[in-house]
Amino acid sequence: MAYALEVVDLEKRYPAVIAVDNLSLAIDAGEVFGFLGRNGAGKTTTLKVVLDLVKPTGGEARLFGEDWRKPALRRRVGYLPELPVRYPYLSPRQYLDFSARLFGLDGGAARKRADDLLERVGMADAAGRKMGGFSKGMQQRVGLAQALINDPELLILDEPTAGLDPLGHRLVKELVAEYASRGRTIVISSHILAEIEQQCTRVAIVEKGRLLAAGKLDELLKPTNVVAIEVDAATPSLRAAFDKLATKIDAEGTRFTLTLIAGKEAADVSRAAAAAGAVVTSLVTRRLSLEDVFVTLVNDDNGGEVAA
Amino acid sequence: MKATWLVAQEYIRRSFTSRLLVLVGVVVLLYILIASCFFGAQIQANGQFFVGEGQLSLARTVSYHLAVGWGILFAIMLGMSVVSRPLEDGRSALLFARGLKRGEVLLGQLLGAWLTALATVLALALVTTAMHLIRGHIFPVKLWLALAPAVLAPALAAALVTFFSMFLPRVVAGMMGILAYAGSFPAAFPQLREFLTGEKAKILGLPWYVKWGAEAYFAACPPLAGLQFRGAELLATPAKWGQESWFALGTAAVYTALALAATWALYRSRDV
Repeated sequence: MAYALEVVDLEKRYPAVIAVDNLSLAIDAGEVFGFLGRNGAGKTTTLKVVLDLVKPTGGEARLFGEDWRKPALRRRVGYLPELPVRYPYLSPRQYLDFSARLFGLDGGAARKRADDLLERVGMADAAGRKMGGFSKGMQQRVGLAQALINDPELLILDEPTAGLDPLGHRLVKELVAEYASRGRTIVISSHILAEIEQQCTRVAIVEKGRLLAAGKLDELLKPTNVVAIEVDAATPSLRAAFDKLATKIDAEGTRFTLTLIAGKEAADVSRAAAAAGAVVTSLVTRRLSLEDVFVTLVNDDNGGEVAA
Repeated sequence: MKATWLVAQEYIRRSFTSRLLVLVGVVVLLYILIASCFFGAQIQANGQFFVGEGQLSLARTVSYHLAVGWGILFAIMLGMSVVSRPLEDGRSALLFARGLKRGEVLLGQLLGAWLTALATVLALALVTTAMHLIRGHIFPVKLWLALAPAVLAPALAAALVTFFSMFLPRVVAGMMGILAYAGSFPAAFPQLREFLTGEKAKILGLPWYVKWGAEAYFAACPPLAGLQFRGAELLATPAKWGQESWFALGTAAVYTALALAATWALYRSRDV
């Protein structure tokens, strides 16, 4: 079966920067896929290439198994751009009606679809007001409605919760769950890691246009523990003992944060500390989060700590 | 075609719900006021009194040039932003993302701009007709004959300025449109050509590159002198349509098509 979306050796070079660098990705139909990266990592450019809004300088893309440049394929896609598109002179109802007509709905069907979606995104009360005075959150809700106007098979959401209040965040989560349960493919581009962690089944992490990692969440976060330990004194022998247990160690005085090698537990750390003659004053263990993976990958790629 | 028409409708709606509407309203009001002047027994302009036939002649000239000139200038104003602004603010990107072809969007936007400009010209023509009826049919109203250039000239102006706006700042693109207008209707600025390329240029000792540049500029501008009916000529006789007029109309159509094709080529290759 064809992938819903696929990019192969994709490249987009601008005179001063490489926005996308030899990126390959494949997203199965029915997946909720998270596209992670820092600001300027190349997420939006990649999505824009897929939608034929940006011409690649190398590589290719496929939508539903076909050449991505065919306009008819995009009629099966819903797209929420990163920045809300401004139609200040239209009301949400007029805007959605216009959008629905572009997809071939006419008259009553377009109006009904518009009203249903405005109700769904909580904008029914403002359906007749001009959008000129809308807050960013209100514009984002209308944007979500327009992305769903054609009941898309593939939904591409670029920073879907930008500007939304907590209820808006919940709305996005519900919509994603609802469309995923109907077998639709959803691509969420974001740098809000918690959001991705909660909603996506598979993620890709990009940095400087390159793919750093891709896979199922439980594979990326596989049984790796993070241990924060505080001891009475940090000695070289203690450090040497910790080096054998962890892939990454952050030290601050007598406090250490260890990202453990797969299979190692907090008890191993405690034993190693005791064997090195240290007295443990506190020990906290937690599962590795997507944020840990993301920060580690990005830091490693940049050869050290990246400024926050 | 349906998508093109929807884009055009959206553009017209935007035009007439913006400040442009206020501007159009002011121009129409001004036009009515000017036309109303001719209700008087006599009027004064340039230190001269106009009465009788002279008064009518002046009325025709002013109303004709206002209607056609305004249509072109309005089209230049619209052409400055009709395509470039939606490209900048993401509206065009969203249309492409919905599966519309770039040609459909471009045509829709230009059709919208052209219809908007045309609507204002028609509004002015209707005002003239109304004045004619009120004045007891003493205006030999053949202003409608001016509609041929009024239809094509705004289309040409919008297409040219849109083309320039694809690679120049909007204000500069608008100025290019005005320059093209000045070069295309030389009689509107009779001194310009003479000053730059004629005997006066020699007397003034203008450098050769100014003369050559001016010659190139006038050669590149679409030759629309054949559409330059004077008010009195247009209205007093059933318009002097001749070979020159048809040539000018044909040239305008060709320039419009070329500007559209060049704009489309740039539009297709543009990242949004």
